[in-house]
Amino acid sequence: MKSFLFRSLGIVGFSFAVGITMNATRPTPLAWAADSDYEIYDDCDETTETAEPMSIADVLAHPDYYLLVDAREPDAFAAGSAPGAVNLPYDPLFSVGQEEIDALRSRAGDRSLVIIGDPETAKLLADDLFSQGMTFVNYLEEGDQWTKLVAKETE
Amino acid sequence: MTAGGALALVSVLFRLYLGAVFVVAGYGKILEPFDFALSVATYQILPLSLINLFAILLPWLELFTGVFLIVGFWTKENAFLVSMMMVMFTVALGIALSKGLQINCGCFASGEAAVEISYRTLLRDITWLAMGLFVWKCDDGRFGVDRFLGRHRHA
Repeated sequence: MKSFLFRSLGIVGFSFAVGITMNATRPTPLAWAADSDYEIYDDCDETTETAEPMSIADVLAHPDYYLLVDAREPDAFAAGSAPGAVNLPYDPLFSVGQEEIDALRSRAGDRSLVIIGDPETAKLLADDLFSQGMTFVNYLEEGDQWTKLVAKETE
Repeated sequence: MTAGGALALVSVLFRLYLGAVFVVAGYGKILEPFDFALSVATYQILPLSLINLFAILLPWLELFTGVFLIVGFWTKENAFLVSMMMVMFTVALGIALSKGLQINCGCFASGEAAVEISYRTLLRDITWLAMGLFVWKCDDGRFGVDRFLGRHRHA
């Protein structure tokens, strides 16, 4: 039993000695003791709620239920957008103002908002509005699908 | 085949499997010591002053015990050490799970390739612990270097 423990300790000692030696020979050895706390990120218990995506098929199934909001710049909007859409140019660096939100609310009435435009910006605008209390807001899964809708109407 | 022979054969299979597991685990950590230290820190068990030391030493113990198990050198001692490490890992996992931590296991790879801890991980570790204890108690040294060291215990 005694020799068993000695041999076990021998293995531990040998491994540790190699570990210390090899660490010392590294180009950037790990310090024996960290000099500052490790940055550990714990997931927050509360989930951050964001707007949900919606498909163009859902919008087309009940077009009266939704007010389309085009998040692109005015020039792009003027060049063509989905029928009935309103323009709310969105810069992700700035939150939508309260006046614009109030205007959207009165314009939408009982309808939900569906944000269109380039997909990334559409999602950001939807999330922005959602975070400001507009819970009935979605964005198109592919924000540029409205172009298909326009093409169909043109035909 | 006698019962002793069957046990020895099963022990060899467990030995080779556990050895490979520990070699792979140790090698991955040796390559990325900082990532492993961060993984250790996320368990929030060890004090800051011991995290780096643990990250420097443990991987080499894993590597050598793994190699020694595979070749059958001082098999019982190495199986004992592997079992003790598995006890340590299992307890650490249990504590982390009981705290509800959503962290990476850090068992093999760290960083993005790492797997998040779960009760499945805990079950896996308990299985490996059982295999280690089996080798410790049942290996008779007939297949491996121990045989040439005169440590073969006839059944």
